[in-house]
Formats: sequence, C-alpha cells, structure tokens
Amino acid sequence: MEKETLKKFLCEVLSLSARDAALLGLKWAFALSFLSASLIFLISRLFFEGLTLYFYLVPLFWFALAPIYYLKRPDPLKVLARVDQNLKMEERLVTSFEVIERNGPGSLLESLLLKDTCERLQAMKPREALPGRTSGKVFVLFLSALIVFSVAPFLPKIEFSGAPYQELISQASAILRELSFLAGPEKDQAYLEVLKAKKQLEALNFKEASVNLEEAKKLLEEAMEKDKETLQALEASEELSFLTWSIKNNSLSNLLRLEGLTSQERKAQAERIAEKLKNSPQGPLSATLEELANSLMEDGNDLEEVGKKLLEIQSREESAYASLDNLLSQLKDERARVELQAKASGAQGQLEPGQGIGTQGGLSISKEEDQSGYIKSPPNEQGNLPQGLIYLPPLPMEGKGEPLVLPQGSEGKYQIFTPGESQEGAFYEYREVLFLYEKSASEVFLRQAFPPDYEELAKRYYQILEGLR
Amino acid sequence: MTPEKFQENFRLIKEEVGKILVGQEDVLMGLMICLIARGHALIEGLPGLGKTLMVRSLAQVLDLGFSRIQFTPDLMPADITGTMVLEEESGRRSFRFQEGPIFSNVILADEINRATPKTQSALLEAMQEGQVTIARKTYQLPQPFYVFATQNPIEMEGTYPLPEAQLDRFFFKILIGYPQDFEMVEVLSRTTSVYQPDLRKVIDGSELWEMTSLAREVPVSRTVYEYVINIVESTRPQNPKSGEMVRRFVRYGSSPRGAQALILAAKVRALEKGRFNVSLEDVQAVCLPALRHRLILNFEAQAEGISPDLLIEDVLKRIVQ
Repeated sequence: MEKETLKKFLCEVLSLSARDAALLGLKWAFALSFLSASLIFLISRLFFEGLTLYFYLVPLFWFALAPIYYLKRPDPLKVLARVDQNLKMEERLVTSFEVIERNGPGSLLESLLLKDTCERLQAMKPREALPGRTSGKVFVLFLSALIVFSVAPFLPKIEFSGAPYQELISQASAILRELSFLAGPEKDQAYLEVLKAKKQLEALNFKEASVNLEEAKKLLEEAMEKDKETLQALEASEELSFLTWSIKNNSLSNLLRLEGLTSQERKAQAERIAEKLKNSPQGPLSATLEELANSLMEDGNDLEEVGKKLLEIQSREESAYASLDNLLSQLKDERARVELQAKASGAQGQLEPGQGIGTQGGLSISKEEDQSGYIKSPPNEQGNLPQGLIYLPPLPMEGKGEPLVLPQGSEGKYQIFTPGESQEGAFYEYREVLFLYEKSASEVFLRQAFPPDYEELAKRYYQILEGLR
Repeated sequence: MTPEKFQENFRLIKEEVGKILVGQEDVLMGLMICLIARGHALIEGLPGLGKTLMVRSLAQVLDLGFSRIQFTPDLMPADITGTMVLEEESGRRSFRFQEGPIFSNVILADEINRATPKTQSALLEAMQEGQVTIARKTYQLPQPFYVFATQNPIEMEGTYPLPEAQLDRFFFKILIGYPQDFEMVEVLSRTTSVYQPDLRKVIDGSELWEMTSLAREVPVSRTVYEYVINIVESTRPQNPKSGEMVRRFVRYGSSPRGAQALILAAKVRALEKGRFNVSLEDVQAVCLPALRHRLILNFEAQAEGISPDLLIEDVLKRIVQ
C-alpha cells in the first residue's frame, strides 16, 4: 500500500516536474524576448534608427531556446534529490524511488524506509514539493524590460561624434574624396571596398564596415604612392602655369594664394614666387612680376591695398603685352620660315617632339604646344627644351587687324580675344575684358586638370572682381 | 535485529561508557561507529585525556577481550603476534605457538608511533585480514577484531610516523581534545572521590555482529554514492574536480578505502539517528574522521600549518549537493 501511494506521489512529482520544465522554458523565452525587444527599442531610440527587423528577430531567437530548455530538463533522480532537499526528507525520497525501481523492498530496512517515507509524504502535496516551480529571476527580467520600455520613449537621442556609424561614414567620405584625385586599378578596388563598407553600415554591421574601410585605406595608400611621382611633376608644372596665367590675366590670384598666411609666410611665399619669376622665360613680364612680388612682401598688406597696387601694375602690364605682340610677330615669321624650309625639304610638319621651331624673342613654340596648348620654355644653348610648361595666355588682337597665325594643328585650342574695335596701342579698362578673361579661365579649367584649390581661388578671384564692379 | 533494537543497543553502550567517561561524545560516537562498521581507529590526542580508559571501557561493555600493547622502540613484531616456544613433553621437544597480545578482540596499541616500522607493520596483516602468519603458519585472530591505536601529536622525538599503507587501514582517525570546563568538574568529581562505577556488559560479540549486519543493509541511493565519489575524487590533486587548496597542499588524496569508510560509517550513523537510509548529512558528519588520515599533505601544507580537516571542509563546501 505504501509502495503504491509513494509511487503515485513520485509519478505525480515527476510529471509535474516535466510540465514545469516546459513552462519554465516558456517563461524564460518570454522574459528574454521581452527584455531583448526593450533593449533594442532603447538602443534604436538613443542611437540608431531602422532597427525594426532586429526588434522582431532577436526575441524570436529566445523562443527557439524554450524547447531546448524542456529537452534539457534534469533526470528524475535529480528532480527527486531536489525535492528531497525542499522537503527536508534527508534523501528518503530518492532512496525510496530507487527501491521501487528495483521491484520493491528486499529487506526489512527497505520496507521500513518506504513506510517511513510514505507517512512523511501523506501530509504533503506533490505540487509543493517541486523545485524551482517559480523563478524570481524571470520576474526580475520582466520587470527590467518593463522599466526599459517605460523609460526609453522619454530619453533624447544621443548625438556624439564617437558614434561608430558617424565615424565610419566620415572615414568613407574622406577616402572617397581622396580617391577622386587618383587613377589606376587600386582606385577602383578601393572604391569597391568603400561601397561594401557603406552597405555594411546600412546593415549596422560596424565590424565588417571597419574591415572594408581598412582595406580601402590600404588600397588608397598604394594608389597614392603610385601616383606620387605623377603628382609631383604635375604640381611643378601646374604651379608655374598657374602663376604665369594668373599674373598675365590680372595677377590677383597670387594675392589670393596668400590668404590665411602669416606675414612671415607671405614673405616666404612672395620670395619663392619672385625667384620663380626671375627664371621665367617671359622676359618683359619679369620686372612687373618682381614688382608684384615685392609688394606682396610688404608687411601689413591687405587685400584691398594689394588690389589697388595690382591695378597699377596692370596698366604697366599693357606694355608687356605690346612686347608680346612683337614676340608673336617674330614667331609668325619664324613659323613661315620653317614652313618654307619644310616645303623645300618635302617634310612639312614632320618635326620631332621637343624639337624647337623658333628661338627668337626668348620664346619657343614646340610641337607639343600644338597638342597641349602650352608653350615650352626656351631651349638652352644645346637646343634642348627645358622641363616644365607654361600656359599660353589669351592674347589681344594682333596689330594692324591681321588675324593671329597660330602654330599648325593648334586650331581650336587657343582662345583669341577680340574686344571690340581694337586699335593698335589702344587701352582697355579691365572691366571691359574681364568677362573674356573669365571665359578663358573657365575653358582652361575644363581643358586642364587644375589643382582644385587653385580652381576655387580663381573662382573667388572673379567673384571679388565682380563685387568691385 | 530490528532498527529499534540497534538504536537501543547504541544508546545503552553510550550510557554505560558514559558512567566512567565524561564528555568526549564525538570520540565515543566515532569509536562506536568503528566497532559496528568493523573498522580500526587511530586516536590522536595528548596524554591524560582518557584514551585508554575509553577503549578499555568499551571492550568491557561489549564483553570483548581486551589487550593493551605499549609500543616502544625496542618492541619486536613477535612481542605482538606471538612466537614459537620450545616445549618438552614426555621427553619430546616441540615448538608451540605462544600467542601474543594481538590475539584478543580489542587491541589498544598505545603510542603506536613509538615502535619501529618493522613492528608497526606486524599489525598490517592482522588489521586487514584478521589473521597473523608466523613460521609459515597462519593463525586466525578472534572475531571481532579491532585495533585502537593511539598516538601523541606533540612528541616527535624518537617516533616513527605510520606509513601511508598502514594509515589507510584505519577506518577512522579520531582526534581527542580537552574536555569542556563543565565536563572537567565532573571528571574531577569522579576521579578524586571513592566513586567506582561498575560497568556491566550491555551486548556481546554476537549482538555486535548483528548490529554490523543490519548497518550494512541500510539502503543508499545513487545520489549519495555519487556524492561520496565526488568527495573522494575531489581530495586528489590530479583530479580536475579538485579545488585550488587541494591542488596546492595535497600530495596524495584518499584511496577507495576512504569511500568505503564513508558509506559504512554513514550507514551506522543513519541507523543510530533512526533513519532507514543514508543521507548526505550522514556522509558529511563522518567525512573528517574517515578522510583526515588519508590525505597526504605536501611540505608546503606542513610549513603553512594547513591541516587535513581544513582541506576536507573546503572540499565539502565546493561540492554541490
């Protein structure tokens, strides 16, 4: 009788135990899901937008753990051992269970044990004996989730520069900006990496995005390294071209380049410019430019003063242009002579690249000039052309109303300015020719890979002039 | 024998010994567990704490033969086991085995660590097999056979620590301490007056045997077995289950004999408490006397004064029930 009673009690305990394990698993799943959802809600409220997918997916993950919790429930002996502890039965229950499992009591002591256990259990209910039926931890989790849910809507979104999303986006933009100045396969690969990083950022996968950006940085460095020599060569030639161009046009660009520099830095810059101009092949322009450089070297010069100074200088530049007219006529004569020679020799236009076709007047026009729109600096005594290019500025109309004869094959590459009914020796206000210069500069920008900073400076230059007018 | 009779006998023995021995209930409990579980005990305590009196009283109450052997450095194995003596009878000379003091039910091996290892080892076969072999002839010892050895923990000069093999054969190592103040009053009162208690025989050897048999029938659940195994394994520094202290201070942990002793002693205790099964609490209660002599500590532990009891308590704390 005791055996049957005890068996019933034990069976009920174990059955309840299994049911409780399943219920407890569900409780945990609910609690963890609720908590996860609340945390995602909080994070999206504070830092990011668009976490809706995670809001649903992560809680679902916890529900997948519920059946695992049931399957991993402790075996009957462990459950009974816990029940023994709960009821302070001193292992009577678990020992009795084993005795019953072994087909009943085999000795006097075992019979007495079953009887004793049964008597002790009669006053108890199986439900009360179950271990871990209710879990305080689950309730704590529910409570925590509720608190988070109730507090999160009232919290302001946190904006800080250290946010990984913002930081990585900035890095990606910086890399793209650098890449815009480069060429080559590394640039394309780096660009792809940045695109990948952007996609990862959209998915809020910061780790992967960082990896992609690191890779992009490496490729960028490689591309920059390869492009370094080219850049150096370009910088050298473009800087000189720009100086010449700007001085011939209005000379104010030089001033603009000095903006933001200290007095000492201005001096140094002006000295550098003066040094370059001394060595420039323009001849008559050198004096004017030197004067400009000297004016810039003065302490305390501001934009307005130097602007005035420049206007004075410009008037004197006209004489320099007259010298250029002479130069061009000499050039025309020289070209005609060369063409005659070429016709005579039956090899018209077969000049080798770099071979000078005229050296008079301190200027030389090479074959490269026809293709690039640049005039080479004069050849040295050995007849070799020096390194570096200077831009051929737009020229005023040639004297006596005759059209300017340009080198062969250079049609459409030079802008010929015809400011109204120009007369030899006539003077024009700069306001009248400003739009022409501006147009010329814009065309140069389109033709020439101009340094972006210079481009910006030139634009501002014209804006200033526009304002003065 | 019924469990009620077991409990009654237990209570009577305690009461009877209590007539002459004041206090030391834990020590008496340990000795009685040894008696019922058929184990030997090593009693460690300072002189004058009633060790001999306790053992003698127990033997008297149980109506068992009692021998006391005072171990000294010059004690020879034959002095314990006995020797062959030459006898002449009717003109014929022959050797006759003269039994030594070991041929008794309860042997009190007083100050066992004073004898040489050779003499100590004379007890090995007797303790394990209940027999002695002399001149290629084996003699069975009277049953039940118990060895209650004592040793002094402070006098190390001229002593020979018991070898591990012999220590392992002791069921319990019982530490005997000073009595409490109120117990001392009773001790002084009894020993300095004309009080002469008359100990009566409570049970005999056969009843003791029945108690032993009944104790062995106590059912033990698998949970308790696993708990005991866990304890024993956790005393071994090589075992991954063992704790930091055991790994640091223990050279060798308990042998399987330790686990056997734990279960047997727990069974006796369970019956004594009126239970018909062994509980985890029974195991915990007998852990110290059953295991403390089975833990061989290293030099670091000795240098830092770490006792085996401390390590066993650490093991018990670490094991989840």
